[in-house]
Amino acid sequence: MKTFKESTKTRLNPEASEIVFSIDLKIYLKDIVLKACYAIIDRVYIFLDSPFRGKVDVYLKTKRKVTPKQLENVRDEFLNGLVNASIRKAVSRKNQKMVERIVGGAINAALAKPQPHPRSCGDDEDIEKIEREIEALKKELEDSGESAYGKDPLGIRKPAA
Amino acid sequence: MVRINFSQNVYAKETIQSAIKEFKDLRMRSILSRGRYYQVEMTHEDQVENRDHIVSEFKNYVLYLNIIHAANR
Repeated sequence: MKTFKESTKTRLNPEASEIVFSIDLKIYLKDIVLKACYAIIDRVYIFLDSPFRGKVDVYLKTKRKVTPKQLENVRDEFLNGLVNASIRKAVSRKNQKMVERIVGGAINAALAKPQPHPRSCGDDEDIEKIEREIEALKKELEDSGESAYGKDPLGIRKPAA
Repeated sequence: MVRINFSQNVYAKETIQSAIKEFKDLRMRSILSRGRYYQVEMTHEDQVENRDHIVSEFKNYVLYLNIIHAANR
């Protein structure tokens, strides 16, 4: 069985603070490799080479002098980044339909015309109260009769000319 | 003079051209196709002591542009 170092074909160059290893593009696609590069590109100099189709050689060079162990740690971090990017891609592909539906629903809801509000219970009670008051006023008017209106107790009514 | 080879399987020509424009002060000469590689020549002799550092920075910048280019495609 191949060791980890053999399977990745790791070559260490401690003088140049550089580690080189190979990646099989049948396992990790090119876009996955680029995403893993993006995660560490601010800390490490990265160069990719592809002498043969289906293989990528990754050159990682630290920006300051480090020990061989630290170089291997950088490589391990990169390899973990590959797995991380692969999982993210698989999950986003799996959830893509659901995300599209949720976003589509949210956009539709935002664009829909506002519906008139249905009457609430409080409104009904208010209307009934107003109607009752109107009825009471009508009854009061009827009770007082038109004669009360025509009495003119202060004598201010003027006859029409 | 330093020649830097970029694999055509990995790097897009446009990204290398954009990086050359950014590094024009360092006399990066425009690219040539050499088999399965794009070749860039750097002819800035004043910076020999920093040459490795500049080359590494250039390669990193090309890769960075390549990542952005691939993400937007």
